[in-house]
Amino acid sequence: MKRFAIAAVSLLAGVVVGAALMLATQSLSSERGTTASAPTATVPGATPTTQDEPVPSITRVAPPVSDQVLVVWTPGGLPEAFADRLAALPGVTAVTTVRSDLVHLAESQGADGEIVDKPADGMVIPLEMMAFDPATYPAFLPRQDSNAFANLAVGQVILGSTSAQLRRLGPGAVLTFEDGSSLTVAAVVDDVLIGAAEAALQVTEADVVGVAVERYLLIRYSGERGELEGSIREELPAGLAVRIRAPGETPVLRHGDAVLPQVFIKEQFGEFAYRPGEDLTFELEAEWVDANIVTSQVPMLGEVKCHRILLPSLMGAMEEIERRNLGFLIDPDGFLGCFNPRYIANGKGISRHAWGAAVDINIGSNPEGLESIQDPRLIEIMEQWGFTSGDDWLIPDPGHFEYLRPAP
Amino acid sequence: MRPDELREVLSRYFDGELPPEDNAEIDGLLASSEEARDYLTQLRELRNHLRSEPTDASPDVTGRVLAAIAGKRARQPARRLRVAAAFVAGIVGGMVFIGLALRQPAPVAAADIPERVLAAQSHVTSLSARLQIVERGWHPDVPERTFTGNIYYQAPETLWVEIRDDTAYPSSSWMPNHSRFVVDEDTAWSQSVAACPTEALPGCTPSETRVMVMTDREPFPDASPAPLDLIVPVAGFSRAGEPRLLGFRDIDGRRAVGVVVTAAQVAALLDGLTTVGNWRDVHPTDRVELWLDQEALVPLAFSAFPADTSDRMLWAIRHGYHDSPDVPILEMTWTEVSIGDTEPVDLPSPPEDERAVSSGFSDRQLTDLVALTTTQLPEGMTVHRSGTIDTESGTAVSVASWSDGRAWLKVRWTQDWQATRLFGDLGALVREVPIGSGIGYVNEHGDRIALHGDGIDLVLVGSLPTEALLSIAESMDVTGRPVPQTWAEAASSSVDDARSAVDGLLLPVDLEGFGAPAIHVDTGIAFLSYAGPGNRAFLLTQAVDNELSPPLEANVRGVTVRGIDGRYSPDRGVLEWVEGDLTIGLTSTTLSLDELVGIAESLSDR
Repeated sequence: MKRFAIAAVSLLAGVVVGAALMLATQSLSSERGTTASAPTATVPGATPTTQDEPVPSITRVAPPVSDQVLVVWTPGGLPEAFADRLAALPGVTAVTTVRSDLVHLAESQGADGEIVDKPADGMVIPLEMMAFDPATYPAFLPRQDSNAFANLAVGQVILGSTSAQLRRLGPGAVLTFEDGSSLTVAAVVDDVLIGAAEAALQVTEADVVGVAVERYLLIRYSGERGELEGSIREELPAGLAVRIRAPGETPVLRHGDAVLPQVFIKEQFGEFAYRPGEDLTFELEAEWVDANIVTSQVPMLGEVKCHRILLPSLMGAMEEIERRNLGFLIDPDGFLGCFNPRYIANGKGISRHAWGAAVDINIGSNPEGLESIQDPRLIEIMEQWGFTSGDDWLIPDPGHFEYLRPAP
Repeated sequence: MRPDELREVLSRYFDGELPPEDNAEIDGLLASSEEARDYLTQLRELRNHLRSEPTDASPDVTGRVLAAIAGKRARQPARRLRVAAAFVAGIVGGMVFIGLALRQPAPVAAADIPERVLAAQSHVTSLSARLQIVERGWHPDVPERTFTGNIYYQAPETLWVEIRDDTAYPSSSWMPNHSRFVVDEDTAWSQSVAACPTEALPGCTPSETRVMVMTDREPFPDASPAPLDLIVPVAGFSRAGEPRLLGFRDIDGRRAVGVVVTAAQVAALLDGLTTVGNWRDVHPTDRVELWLDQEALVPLAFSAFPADTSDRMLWAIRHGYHDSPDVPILEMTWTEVSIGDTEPVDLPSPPEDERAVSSGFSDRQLTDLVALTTTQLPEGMTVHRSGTIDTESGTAVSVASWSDGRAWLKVRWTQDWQATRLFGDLGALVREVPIGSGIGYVNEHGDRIALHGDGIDLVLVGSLPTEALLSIAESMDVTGRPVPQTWAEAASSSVDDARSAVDGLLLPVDLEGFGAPAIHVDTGIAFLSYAGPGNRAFLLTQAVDNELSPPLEANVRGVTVRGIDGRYSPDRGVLEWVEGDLTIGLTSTTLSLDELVGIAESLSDR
């Protein structure tokens, strides 16, 4: 009887465990799924493609290419016939000149002809437009992208991918400019292929929409970089500063790489329309200002009017300066503000102050064009909070700090 | 030992995690009984089976095991064995009992799920549910946020999603992420806080919510679509291959089937919840476990896990996220789900003082259904809304739409199309297809068909499969003509054209989960665009050339692909290499590098 009882208890325990096991396995069938991999393209004989497994094919060395690329620019535009002179240098296999300028968009239509953007009367949207030579520029592009540039017709424009997203436009869309001229979007390409401009057109049409300034050169070369750089500098007029960069040394091959290209500023801070004024100032659309510009008390600086996205970084930087007892580095009278809707000094671009994305600090002792006397600790803290300093620009602006990247 | 402890011990035994001394009793049985060993093998197989392919019945091994144990009894009189035998028999009996008790309707085969989702859309006429959302990693100071909400739907295009933020924030300077999104046929409006980058929180969030109102909205507009994938995720399963099955489980009393997809695949569902308000981003390659009602294919649960790749990690750093691959970053659960018998409710109206933006659509009974008089619609489709659009460009556009539950179909047409590309915004690459005695053009995703007819240009768009749309297009009284040579789509090509242009052209073999490619050949370069479900897509380019151009971007790394040194640009999503006389590129912003490598490995000139 006792044996029977023991067996019965065991049987009962087993039933309980079996039931639990069945439930557990059913549950496991779902819970275990949490470690399953995402679906992958199913192809026979493929390299294992589950995300749980490392991809065995990653190596450290990219395939060799016969040529290397450099970008070269000088402040305010290139010297005359600079490209021709560099093309004759030993080791240089190709050179192309890129123009870039501010243009005014008055209206855009989608591919179906419907209006996408149409600012209020008299207002325009600022666009950074680049112009390329279809005969020489494609040599610097991946093969699959080169035709879009080589074959770009008169009346057509290429949009960068970020610009297309901002504009909510794709191929077939039409951009109409302040002067009434129109361009049809032929393609959308990665930003890096048009030097992070917002749009690109071929150089024969550049003058029509007002893209005049030759900003930078791209050079393909073989041989020693140092030697070539020396030769490039020898071709410059005396005293003219130059920047030379290679891929990997700068996020995008373009001029003025110390600051974010305008399209990325728009991506972060939003896009506005404005009414150009008589001087270097302009009137911004009220809706954008209302939605983005805020006023706040900031340590050391007092009342500050900035973009709502920049303000926490500025606040963080100033609080850190205060915390480190470095308040004496800030001259309250040398603070020239943050939000200020205006062009840059030469009128060829929109100041980051127009987005409320830059501040001028200690400007009295650090005027534009002169060497910086900012304390390195101030620059270090500002950079730590995501600002870039104008102190090492080709034309220094050491009192100027503008948004470059998110604060840590 | 409590049952749950026994369950744990057994589970660990099956997984080989028990220390040897704890296995002694069961090991003793296994050593002496082949049947017992078979039994354990079957248990393991059962578990493995359940992991990948749920079953509706447990295996009946009781008799065999009992018989085996009975046969051993004479030779194994030990009490321990009798106890073990009874215990094992009990396990089997318990499993069979529970297996039978939980017996469910016929199981869903993984391969059938995409088709079933597409079919299910016609059967969902209304829905209401409560939503529970957990979001992790939005901001370092607010590691987890919780939300509750409601969703209300009446077919075909009336939707109200209300989300309430229940998070306890560190201070009042953090704005709660309450949001509301309403689509009431010709009006759509939303109210939410403005989005902010992570690093600028909380200071950058305006204290007032943002209201956006659109009126005179055409049915199923491209510009402001109702997030109907929240109801049935049709976009997420159109053109989908066989999904990986997670299993079955009950969610709030409903039987659910689970599948593994990527965030890119269910982007429409995800966007439906996160388009308005201030949410964290989910990477396109993130793994999503999606649980659907087994019968109605309505979403019941959604969990997004960070993809475990270096590119994804870099993306997280750039966004200020500190994600862990094992911790879901977004979880959503639909509870108290009512399907088909939802009582109509009064939808909230937008605040009266908010400025509305008109989309220019006027509801009208159309008498000039030029193209539609002979149209044969799928059974069940009934007339929805029709009317005309006053475009600012002056092009007169007419619209007619039909619906059947959540399924919808729309035709837009114009008789004064002036542009030099197809009417209907089909995108950069299209596929030319025969339709009746003429031809039509299909976009990459297969949900849009354009006809360039005699004096009329029209586009057919809807949530139906491509084949159904083609069939409807064929029944229309419009014969599609080839577009003029000056139009962008005139360069649309076939595989044969691509082979002629690029000698030795390679194509993916047996590629699942992607539709037929849209092909374009341009001066010796072949472009083949493949679209899958949701946002999953890639572009294959090939040209006769034997060297890659120098890279322009900073972030490029070497990758061995097909045994060849290639390179990958994660920022652009481009994998490229030189093979023989061809330069080959695979570009995608929604597939991971390992998926691109997998596709590359399948390429063949056959």
